[in-house]
Amino acid sequence: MNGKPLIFLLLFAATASAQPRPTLKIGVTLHPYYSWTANVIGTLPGYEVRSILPGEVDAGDYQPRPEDIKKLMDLDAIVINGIGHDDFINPMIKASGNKKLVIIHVNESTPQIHAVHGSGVNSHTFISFTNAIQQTYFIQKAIAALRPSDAAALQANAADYARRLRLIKARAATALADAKINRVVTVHDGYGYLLQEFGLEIAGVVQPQHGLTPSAGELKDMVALLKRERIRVVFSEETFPPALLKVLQDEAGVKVYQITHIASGAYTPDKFEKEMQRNVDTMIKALVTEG
Amino acid sequence: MDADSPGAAGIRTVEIRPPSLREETTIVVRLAVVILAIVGFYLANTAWSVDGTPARANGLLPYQTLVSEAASQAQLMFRELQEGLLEAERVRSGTGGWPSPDALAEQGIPPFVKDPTAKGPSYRWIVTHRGAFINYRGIPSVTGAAGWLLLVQEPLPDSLPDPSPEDEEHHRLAGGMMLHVSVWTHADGAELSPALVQVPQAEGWIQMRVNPPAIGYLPPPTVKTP
Repeated sequence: MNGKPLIFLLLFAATASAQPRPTLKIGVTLHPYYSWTANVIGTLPGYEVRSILPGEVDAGDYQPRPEDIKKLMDLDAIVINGIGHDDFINPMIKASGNKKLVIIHVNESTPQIHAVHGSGVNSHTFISFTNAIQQTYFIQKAIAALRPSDAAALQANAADYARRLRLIKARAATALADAKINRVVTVHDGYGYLLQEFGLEIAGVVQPQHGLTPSAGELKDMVALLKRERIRVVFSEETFPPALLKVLQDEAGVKVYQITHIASGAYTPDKFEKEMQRNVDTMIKALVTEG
Repeated sequence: MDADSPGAAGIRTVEIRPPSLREETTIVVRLAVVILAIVGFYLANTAWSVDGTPARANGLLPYQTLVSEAASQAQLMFRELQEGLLEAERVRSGTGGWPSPDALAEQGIPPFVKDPTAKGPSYRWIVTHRGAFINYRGIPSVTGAAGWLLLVQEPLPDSLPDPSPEDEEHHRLAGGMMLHVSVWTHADGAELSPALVQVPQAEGWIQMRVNPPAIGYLPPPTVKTP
């Protein structure tokens, strides 16, 4: 038997397998999606996770820039919120001309709660442990569909990340079981999912809409609500004007604590874990230690 | 050459007249009636229902409700069941068997693990499995509290591959098997028989959904396993 064809075949197969596979480029619109996607990929070779927005810009204040549209042009997939937190991305995708882009709508199967003000849904599904785990698996499945050969490793990475998030939540739940305060007011309507996970109620939200400061009348109504409902804790956010917080503190005697909604800073794989740990530490301090 | 002249053999002249005013009015009225009927049918099926509630507005079946309309505790239970299901599916993919609630609880997976911040009744979780059907059932500790059911339906042996796209009711395991999954609640979970449930809507269970069913939605097949 002539062995030449077999040798050629083996050589061809060896050459083909030695060639590096093309990098799968996955974009993200929000900081938590970067962390989740990066953890799903872990140390697997042949992937790039790319943030579309500059780190220092909150998605709520973002205006599309040509240099960010360029980042979309060669992407294979993009992870988006799709329920109001990153509406800017659709025209950007269209402008990029990228027609092969796979859009991963992480909220597709995530139950949403109503926004406190208005008739819309609360788009901050990402400030939550349960949603983070569910959406991490959603991302994992979507990437596995694009790279079936990595499916098992991607699932193992997602499961490992889910375990870590669950550990942070479980430790916090043990501490918050002793909470002396179970009803709070929040400045920002983004914490509904997180507080629900620990059996905490929201008596009111200060901002009339995401990113808007309340009018004098609305602030007065909030002070009345704080007094009437005997609320002692307000969870605020980083960018809310301190002068307005001082009104709540002085007039209603509340203590104010900051919860981050993980919306700015450097994009890193551990950002979500670190900031959620900080959030639950703040909640324990406010509701248990100092409550 | 004149078309009507004898030399133009085989050519005939046809006069096309516009419809009379009466005919035109009839056409316009008929068209208006059709449009009104379509709009009326659409509104009747989307904006209002007979009893005035918006429930049917989303094309929900009588035994379905949206998670977003539920009370906070029910929303949380639904969310935790979604998380628990994903982990159970992962185990099913890896080992070929469905994990017990105790095994899931040992890994800290909600809602099977005890939650120290839970405000409602505590739950005892059981799993039953017969044929293609798997039930994870949450039985409340007190009468009058909601019961919970996570219903998983595997494909029947020798059935054709399910071409459905993945969504809240269709989950594909890592090996390719497509599952039908759904979450159900019952107003009085403590009083129910713990026997396997295959057709929950026939036993008073309400299905909780994230999204309204898509147009052309068909409930999962309800072939009973003997």
